[in-house]
Amino acid sequence: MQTTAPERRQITAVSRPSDKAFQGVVTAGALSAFVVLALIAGFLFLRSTEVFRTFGFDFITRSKWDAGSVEDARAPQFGVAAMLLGSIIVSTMAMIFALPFVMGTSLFLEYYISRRIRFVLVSILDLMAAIPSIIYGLWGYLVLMPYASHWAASINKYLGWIPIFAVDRENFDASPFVASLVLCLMILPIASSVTREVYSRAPQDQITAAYALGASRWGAIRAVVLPFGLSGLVGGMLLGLGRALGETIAVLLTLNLVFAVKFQVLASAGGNVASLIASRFGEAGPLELKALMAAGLVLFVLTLLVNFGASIIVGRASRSTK
Amino acid sequence: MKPRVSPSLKIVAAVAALFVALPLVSIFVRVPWSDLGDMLSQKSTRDALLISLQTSIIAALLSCLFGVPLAWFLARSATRGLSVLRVICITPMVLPPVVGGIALLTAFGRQGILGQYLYDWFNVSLPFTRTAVVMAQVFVAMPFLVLAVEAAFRQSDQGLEDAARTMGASPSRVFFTIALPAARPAIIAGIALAWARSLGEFGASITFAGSFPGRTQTLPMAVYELVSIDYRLSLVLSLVLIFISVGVLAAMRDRWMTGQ
Amino acid sequence: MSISLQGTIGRGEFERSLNLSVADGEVLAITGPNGSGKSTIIHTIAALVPLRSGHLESDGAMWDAPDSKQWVAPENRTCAVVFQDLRLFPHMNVIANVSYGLRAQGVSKDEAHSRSTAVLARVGLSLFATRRPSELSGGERQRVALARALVVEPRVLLLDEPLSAVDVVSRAALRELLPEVLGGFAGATILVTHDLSDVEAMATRSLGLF
Repeated sequence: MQTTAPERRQITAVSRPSDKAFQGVVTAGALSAFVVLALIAGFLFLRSTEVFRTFGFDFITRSKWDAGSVEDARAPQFGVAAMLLGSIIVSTMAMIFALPFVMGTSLFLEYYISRRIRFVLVSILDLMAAIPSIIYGLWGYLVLMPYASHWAASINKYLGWIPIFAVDRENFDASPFVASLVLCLMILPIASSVTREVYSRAPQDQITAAYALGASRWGAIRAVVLPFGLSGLVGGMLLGLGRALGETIAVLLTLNLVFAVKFQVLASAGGNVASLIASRFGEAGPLELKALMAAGLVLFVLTLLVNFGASIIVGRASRSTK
Repeated sequence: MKPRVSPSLKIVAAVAALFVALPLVSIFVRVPWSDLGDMLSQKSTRDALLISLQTSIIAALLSCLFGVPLAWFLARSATRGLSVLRVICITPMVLPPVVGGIALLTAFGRQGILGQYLYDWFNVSLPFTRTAVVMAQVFVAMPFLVLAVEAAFRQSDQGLEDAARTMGASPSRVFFTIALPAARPAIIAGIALAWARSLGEFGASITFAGSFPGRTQTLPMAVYELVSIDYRLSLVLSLVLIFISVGVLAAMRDRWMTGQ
Repeated sequence: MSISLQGTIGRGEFERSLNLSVADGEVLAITGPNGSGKSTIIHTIAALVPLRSGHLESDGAMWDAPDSKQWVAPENRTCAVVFQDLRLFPHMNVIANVSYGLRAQGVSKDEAHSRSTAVLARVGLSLFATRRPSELSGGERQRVALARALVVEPRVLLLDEPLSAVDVVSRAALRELLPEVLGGFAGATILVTHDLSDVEAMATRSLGLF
C-alpha cells in the first residue's frame, strides 16, 4: 500500500571480520572470473592484429591456403576468402531451411496445442539444445548424407540449369547442402525458443478482437501475431545464425573443405572457418598457426556482429512488449 | 481461450516430436547392439569415457564454484560498469568454441601472454594437458550457469534478505541461509546445463588441449576420429554420450525447466 | 528515552520532516493515509532505508546520521520489525523462522529452540512449530511474524500494519493478543496503522502524518 519505493541501501557499516572475509571471497571470485575473461578477449585481439600485420589485408580476399614447402621453394600463402564465404553460404542456407520450421514450431506450440502436449514438446526442444554437436554431425554423416546426396542429385538433374544448382563433377556427398541441413536442425531449438517467447506476448485483446470480427485462427495469427512477433523471429533467427557460424564438428563431418571460391551448393566442396581451424590446428606450423588465429579473429568479429544485432533486435522486441 | 486439441493435431505433434528426436532414434537403430559389450570394454573407449566424465564433472563443479559468486555479484552489486562486466561474462556463450580455444591458447599457451610467465616462473605448461580440457570446458560452459543463477538471484525476494538482516543476520549469513536456498533449483539446473555443455564440448578443447588418446581425448573427439576408421565403434561411443547427457538431463527435467 | 528520530525521510514529493521520540514502555501509533511515509519511518529505523538528513539515535547510540557519516548496519541495531508483508522465510518451518534471529546472533541451538518454543506458546502457536508458512492461515502467519520479532528481545519493536493482512475472525483474536503482548513489552514500540480503533486499543500516544 505504500507507494514510495524503498531506496537503495548504502551500507557504509564497519562490518565484522567474517563479513569482510565473505565480501572478499565473493568479490574475488567474481572479479577473477571477469579479469580472466577480459584478458582473454584482449589477448585475442592483440595477437591477431600482429597476424594481420604479417599477412596484410589480402588475408581476407585470397582463397589459397598453402603452408608452403621448402623443397619446391613455395612460399606459404594464406587466405580465408573461400572459407569465409563458405561459412556464410552454409549458415545462410541453414537459416532458409530453418525459417519455416521455426515459424511453424513457434506458432504451433503457442497457439495450436494444449498445455500438456506443449510441455512435452518444449522439453524435447530444449533437450535438443543439450545434445552434443558431435551427435548431429554423426547423424548427418551416417544417416542423412546418403539420402541428401540422392535429393541433391535430383535437384541437379531437373534444376541444374540454375547456376547455383550446377555441379562440375557428379559427387553430391559432403556438400554445403548436406551441412546446412544438419545446421538447420541444430539451430532450431534456440531460434524457436526465442521466437515462441515473443509470439506468446502478442496482445491477447487484439487476438480476441480479431476473432470477434470473424477472423479464423490463422486469420488472427496473420493479422496480429505475425506482425507483432516479427522482431522476435528476426532476433531468434540471428541468434541461430550466430550459432551456425561457429559450429565446428558437425560441419567438419558433413562438409568437404575445398580452398576455392565456389557457389555450387550441391557440389562436394565448400568452406567453413570454424572447421578449418579445428582440422588444421593439430598439424600447423608456427606461421600457419598465426594464420589460423587470424581466421579465428575474423570469425569472432563476424559472430559478434551477428549476435550484437540479434540482442539489439530481441531487446527491442521484449521492451516494446512489456 | 486455449483451443481443444483435435486428433489430427495430436498426430502432427507426434510427427513433430519424432522429427526433432530423429537423430537420436536413427543412432539407436544403427548401433551394433550385439557387439556392444566388447566395444565398450576396449581400452581406447574406456579411456575416452573416463576422461570425459572426469573433466566434465570437474568443469561443472568449478563453474558452480566460480559462477555462483559471480552471479550473486552481477545480481546484487551496485558497482558501476556492471553491464560491461556482464557482456564480458556472456561473450564465451556466443563465441565460436574454436575461437574460445584459440583465445585460451593466446592467453595460457607457452608463448601466451600469461602462459609464458607460468612457464618461465613455475615451469607450468597448460596447453595439451587434461587441465587444459577442463579449462576449455569451464570457459564454454560457465556462462550458461551464471546466467541461469543470476536470473534466479534477481527474481528472489530481496525483502526476505532485508528481513533477515533486521533479525541480526550478517550479509554472509543472509547469502547462505536465505539467498542460496532460494536459488537452489536454478543452481542445480545451471550445473546440469554446464555439465551437458562440458560433456559435448569439442571446438575449444581440440584447439587448446588437442586430441591425444588416453590424455586429452574426450568422447566427442574420439567419436570424430573413429568415424572414418570404425564407424560402428563411433556409434557406440555416441550412444554412451547420448545416454549420459540426454538421459540425466531428461531425468531432472522438471528442475531444469523451472530454472529456465 | 529509547529512540528518537529527528530529520527528513523519503525523496521528492514524499520527503517529509519528522521529529519523534518514544520512551521505554510507550507505544507510539503513527497513522496516516497511503503514501504518507509511514512504512518509510519503520524502514528507516530498521536501516533498510537511509535517513536523508538529521539523526536517529537509540539509548544514546547514534544509528544513522548522514552529516557525520555515522551508520549502524541493520544486523547491529537492537530493533525488530513485523513487516506489513510479513516476509516469513518460505523454505523454513515455523520454529526455524522464529529461532533464525537468535541463531544469527550467536545463541546456541538448544537455547534458541527453547526460547522460540516459549514465545510460540505465548502467541498460541505451540502446535504449529513444524509447519511451513505456506500451510498456515493469515492470522497464524501474523502470529509467527510477531513471535519472530519478540523472541530476539529487542529494545525497539516496529509493527507495520500488524492487522492489515488478516481476516475478520483472526483480527478479533489478534486485537486481544496484541495489547497483552505490548503491555508486557519493556522497550519502545512504534505501531504503524491506518485504523483509528487500533490506536485506541493499543497506543499510549499517537502521531498523525497527513
